Amino acid sequence: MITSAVATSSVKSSGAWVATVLKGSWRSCPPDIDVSADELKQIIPLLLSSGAGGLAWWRVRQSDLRSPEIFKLQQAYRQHSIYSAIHEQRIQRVIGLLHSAGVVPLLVKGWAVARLYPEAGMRPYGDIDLCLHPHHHRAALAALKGTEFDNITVDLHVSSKKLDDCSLEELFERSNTVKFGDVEVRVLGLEDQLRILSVHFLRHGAWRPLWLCDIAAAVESRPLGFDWDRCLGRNCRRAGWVACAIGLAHQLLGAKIDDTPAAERGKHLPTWLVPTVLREWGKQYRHRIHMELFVRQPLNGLKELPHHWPNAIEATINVRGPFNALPRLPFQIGDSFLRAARFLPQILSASRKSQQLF
Amino acid sequence: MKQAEKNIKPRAREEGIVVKELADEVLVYDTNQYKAHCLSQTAALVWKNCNGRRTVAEIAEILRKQTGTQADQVVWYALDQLGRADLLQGRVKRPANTQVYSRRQLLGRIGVAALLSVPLIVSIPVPASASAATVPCVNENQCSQPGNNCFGCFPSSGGPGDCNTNRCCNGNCRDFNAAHNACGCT
Repeated sequence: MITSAVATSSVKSSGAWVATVLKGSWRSCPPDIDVSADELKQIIPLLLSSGAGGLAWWRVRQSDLRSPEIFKLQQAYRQHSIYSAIHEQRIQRVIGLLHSAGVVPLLVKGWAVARLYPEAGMRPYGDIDLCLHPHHHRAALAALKGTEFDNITVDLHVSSKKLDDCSLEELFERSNTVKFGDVEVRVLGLEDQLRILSVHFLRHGAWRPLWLCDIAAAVESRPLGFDWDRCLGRNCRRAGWVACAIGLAHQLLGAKIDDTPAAERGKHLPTWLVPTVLREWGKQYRHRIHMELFVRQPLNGLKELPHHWPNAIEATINVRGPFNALPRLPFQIGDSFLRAARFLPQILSASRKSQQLF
Repeated sequence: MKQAEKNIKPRAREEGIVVKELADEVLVYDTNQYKAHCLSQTAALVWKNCNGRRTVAEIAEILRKQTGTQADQVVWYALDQLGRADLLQGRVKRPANTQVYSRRQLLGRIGVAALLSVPLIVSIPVPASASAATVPCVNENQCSQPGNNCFGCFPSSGGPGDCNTNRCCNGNCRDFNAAHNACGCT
């Protein structure tokens, strides 16, 4: 439970406070909150910058906690609500355009995840991510050309590589159709969605508490007959990752996982895992700047380098390692070497071009 | 209520408006001006009943039945605010013989107990990304919308002028300074 995760330090860390505030926040009736206005105030910037402001407001709105800072959470919730209304209209329009061109896309992330929550404003979403069969790509681009979607980010994916180890065909085959306004939208099967959410959360180093709330919401909203074998997949290692993510949702956010195959895993997570997540949640996230940009500024590049050091979670995923009790340093070193090897040709190419120009 | 008031039939704007109803308030987004407003229940009730057929007196009666608020001035106050927020078709001109109340004066008239029935409209800061306008962004600090990311913008292998990634607060990643082989988001 969260108390065990937090009790290791006498002073609760910012990350642990974030977890406390978001505990059960995805439910229509979240549990009563037991934090003071001052404690909450300390972590409001973290909640807002990680996109969890709406969820935090959902949790605190029934309490007596009120202050100008807490009002920011309410404003975030309102922003997300408005944005979701605008976004929903756009999704309907873009899907309608694609349907009329004979393209059936699979809507992933964003709204497809937000619909797991009782209210649209609880979660922000930005781009419209659509998966397509490769042979539909050209038709989709033509259908969107010259429309408002030239200026609005619609990400068209013709491969599932970034999402999952299942092929796009498999994901399409197991997808569901849901009615959304005037259009029917194809979304991932719930089993695939939970697996993809879990791996995505870990691949990005678990920095965003919102993503763990997504996992918790997906676990608790699963229907009877949810196929766990399909969710965990054939790959044992990947199944272990998914179980760990669900276990984290239980330990940090109080997700109910008793009747799931991850229940046992949730009680025995590797000792390094929870502290790593809480460390991430306790600091402002900073995106990494591509190293190619520093070809002509090597000193700035050196300053940027520490930000590219992977945390234990992302390193384990990147090298496709197991989540076990072994130390993580070898995984982190291995991942750094792999990434350096991948980017070296790009840096050299950028450097050559730079020399030609000047 | 005076005869002049009876003839006024306010009409809510319908074009360029996105409405989101929440449990205890209504959010209205103006897609023309990229502004968002949060309407209290009373303000929303008045706004929803501005259909161009109901008079101010009829709206006041609906308000009285649904909320128990007696003061007709509440409707006028709401119409003033809705007009200022540009949520009505044209400005509703208050008859000369009706008094303009501030919020405080209105509270004094209807009583503090009826605080909840004061029609309030609060503006909500909405990042331009919600309007899908292209927003300059060269680092993540400029992404004000929680959850929106600025992944930066960098030259791809195609050479100067060939910029990669457009995930920059929904802006577009374009050639920023070809001479320096650098890209930016515009």
